[in-house]
Amino acid sequence: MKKLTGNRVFLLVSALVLFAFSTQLSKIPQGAKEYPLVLLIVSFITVVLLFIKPQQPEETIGKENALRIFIFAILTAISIFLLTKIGYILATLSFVYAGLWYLKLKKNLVFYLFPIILTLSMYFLFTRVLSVILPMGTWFSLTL
Amino acid sequence: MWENILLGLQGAFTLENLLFEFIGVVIGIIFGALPGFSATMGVAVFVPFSYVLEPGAAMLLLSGVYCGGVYGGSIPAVLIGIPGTPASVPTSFEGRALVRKGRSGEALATVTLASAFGGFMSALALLFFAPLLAIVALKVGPPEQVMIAIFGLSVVSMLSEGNMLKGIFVAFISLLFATVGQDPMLGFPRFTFGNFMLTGGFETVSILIGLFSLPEVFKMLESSKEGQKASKVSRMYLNWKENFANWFNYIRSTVIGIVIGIIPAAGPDIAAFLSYNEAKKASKHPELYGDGSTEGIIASEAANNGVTGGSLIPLLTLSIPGSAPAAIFLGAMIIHGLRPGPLLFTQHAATVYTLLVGFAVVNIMLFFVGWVFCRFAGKILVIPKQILAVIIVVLASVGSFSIQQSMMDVVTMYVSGIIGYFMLKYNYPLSPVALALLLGPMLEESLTLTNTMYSNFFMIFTRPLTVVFLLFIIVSLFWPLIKKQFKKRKAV
Amino acid sequence: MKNRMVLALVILLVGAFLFANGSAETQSAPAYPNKTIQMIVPYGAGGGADISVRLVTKYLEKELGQKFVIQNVSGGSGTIGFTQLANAKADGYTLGYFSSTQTNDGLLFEGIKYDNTSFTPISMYASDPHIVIASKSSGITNMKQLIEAAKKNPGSLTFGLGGAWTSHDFLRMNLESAAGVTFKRMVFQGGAAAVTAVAGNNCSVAVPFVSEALAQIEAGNVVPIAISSSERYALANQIPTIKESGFDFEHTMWRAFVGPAGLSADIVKVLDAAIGKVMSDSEFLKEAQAAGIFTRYIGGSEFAAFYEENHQLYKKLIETALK
Repeated sequence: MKKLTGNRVFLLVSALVLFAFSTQLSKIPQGAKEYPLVLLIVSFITVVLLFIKPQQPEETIGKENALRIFIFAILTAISIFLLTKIGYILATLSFVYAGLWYLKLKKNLVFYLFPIILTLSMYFLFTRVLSVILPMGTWFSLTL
Repeated sequence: MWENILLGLQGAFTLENLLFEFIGVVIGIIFGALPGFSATMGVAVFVPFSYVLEPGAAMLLLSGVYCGGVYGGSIPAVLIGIPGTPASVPTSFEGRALVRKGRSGEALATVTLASAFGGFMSALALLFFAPLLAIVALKVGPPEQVMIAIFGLSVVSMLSEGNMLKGIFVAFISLLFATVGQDPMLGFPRFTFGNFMLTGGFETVSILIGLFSLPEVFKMLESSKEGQKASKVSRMYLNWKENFANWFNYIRSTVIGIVIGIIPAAGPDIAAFLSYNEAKKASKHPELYGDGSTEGIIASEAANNGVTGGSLIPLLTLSIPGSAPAAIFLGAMIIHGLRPGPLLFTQHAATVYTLLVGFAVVNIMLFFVGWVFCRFAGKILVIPKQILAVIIVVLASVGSFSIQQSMMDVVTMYVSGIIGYFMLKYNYPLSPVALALLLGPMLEESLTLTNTMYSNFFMIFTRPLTVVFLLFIIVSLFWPLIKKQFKKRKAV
Repeated sequence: MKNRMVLALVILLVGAFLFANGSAETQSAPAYPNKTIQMIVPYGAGGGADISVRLVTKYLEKELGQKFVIQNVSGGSGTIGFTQLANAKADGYTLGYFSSTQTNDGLLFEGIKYDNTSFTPISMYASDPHIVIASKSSGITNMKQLIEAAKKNPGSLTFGLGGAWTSHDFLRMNLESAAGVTFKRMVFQGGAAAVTAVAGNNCSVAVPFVSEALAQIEAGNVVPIAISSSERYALANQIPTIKESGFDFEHTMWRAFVGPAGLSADIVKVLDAAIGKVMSDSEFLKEAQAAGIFTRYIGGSEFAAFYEENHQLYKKLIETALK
């Protein structure tokens, strides 16, 4: 009985992605199809080989660490989602505060001032100096 | 020629122009050093800025940004293991290990010297041999490009020593991802799943930003206890003896950089990988690679900065941009009425030679500015990990957004980061992704073109340069084996 | 205690910003334009489109007294930028760059929602001709020889393009149907790469834009055959037009400014007049020539009609090509 290690799950997901790609192949006209087809086949073969190979032992990072990373990743995802909803300034400001709070930074002057300085300095650098308009919110927008 | 160089010296050393060179270098280094920002971006955002300047000053400012950007990317690569630009990926292998050994100052000093050397030599090549070397760019046709792409991809085998199959898997699936979007021949949007935002494919730079920075952030969070204790900063220190012993490495790496710079479609990133690969093969201590080898740093840095001057050679003489930042450089020149071509050197001699001489000056300046900058940058090692983690995430998001002002790229960055973390965890090498994404489009395009040119693929071996490149690949691949044989014989 | 004070300060600061921002917007609005105008350029900074837009807006700023911010929304081969423009508020503060072929993107790419009705044409400001060039080894020196060579070996004379569905590709289609020949397509990434291939004798013919080809023509690495505009080009006066060579053929890529659909006629009028003024400014014309921009102004209802006509023309071309 082969164990479903983390690596094997990773490979299964890759195989799913490859499968999704292969469903698109029929639409692609001749001349644009051959090259990706070859890549798809080789990728599939290597996935299978890696799957049946004896697995290396995997290092574990402990539940507590995994949870911390997971929550931080979710925080990041939320902030990216919010970028187009409440705009760059508010999304970034709240992400930086939330992140620092969650990672238990000591609550001194740095904790309160740093997020504002980071957010606003990036904002002014981009919008004023580099004339790149950072995401604005659809729900609510703050522009300076 | 000498009169013109004298003219250039006069132009490059006016107080005003020196100031612009300096400002350019500083801005470039900052742009390169911030993860998520790149040299290309630095040059792009400063093009409109340079409109208001005199043509000479504008070109010098952009040269500074370009050279500084390519160099700056290596500073975070050394200090926190996050390459500021893809060209610094090989540097990050060695730099990180040296920092762990408490040799951060030495690593940064080597980076600075090698970059300035590579850049300066490329500037000399640009100044003295531009018309001669530009011919190389013309000789490189699609079949040669196929060879270069394959040569570049062969580096994957070195990058994935120990788990070759995983490296091959990563390379092929990345090559597949590089095919998303319009195909090079018919312009059909492939694998877009009906989403027009993917018509142009995934943005390579966003993928690389995510892949190389987010996993480092997650790793910082992992080692909560001991990791939060900041690493020590060591003093900037240049080991002259070691650097002198590497004289051949310096020359070889710079030449690789200049040649790759001249060849269209291959930029500083490819040069760094190739040169690092060659240095390791030629090294007397290949076992040190990945464990803090200054040789590796020299190889990758001299090469990626060697590209800067190299890529301007075909640009100025024949209007062929040799790298992405060089393409933007072209736009800036045109708007100033400096149309590249053979006439440029006679019609606008003063401006052009100011640029050429200034390019060398920029690289000398790079050494000193970089040195000072590194002394301050070293301090990021004492920033608490929590703050660093948050900064990197913000920089990565804003950086990937600003490339094309598209949210799609931010999402791409994030997803690549998550995938990258799992890849690290399950022991998949990350750097083949960079190689495959950068070389994939070139490989497919040149293969298709070669197919159009020759109905019989083997006809390409009637082209002398193709054969030379092929021999190069073969020797490079089998060199380690040959070396082993030699050693055995000696032992007997 | 100290922490709370800092917190209060922070809230105050943020509040002040919010307030300052809010109050600025309530001021009554005088005539258009009264604030910064965003200009969407769906291509990268430093490229041909970007250079020309930046030059024109520099002069437009003087004319209209407002700042223009150029946004290079270059994702998705330009489609993301055009979608953004099509979805923008039609208040005259979001405008965009536009060229020959984009109204038909829906035929080429899945999921594209914009078409010719999604934009309000304002005015055309440039139209770039192509230069037909041939490699030295091909032995071709004029249009007649080019067509003969193509007729002799149907489908095997290599023809370098700067990309699929670009102006280069459409020129090829037009030329093929006009002369009754077929070429062998070689698609490069950008016109400069196609010129390089011709200079290296890897490709027989190419049709780059003038700015992409001049350096190699001057260096004597490629043979110039003809220019695709109706008149010769001042900076390369020795090159004949295609028409002069006996073919009734003309092809240029035009560049224009458009707004989202539903832009009021008054706003269009203000912008069109300002652009028209810029286009007759001698200082602008001098700078444009140095930057290799082929200025050509068509505005008002004339351009609106041209825009429609052009849409139908390219629609037909693409539909035939896709068959």
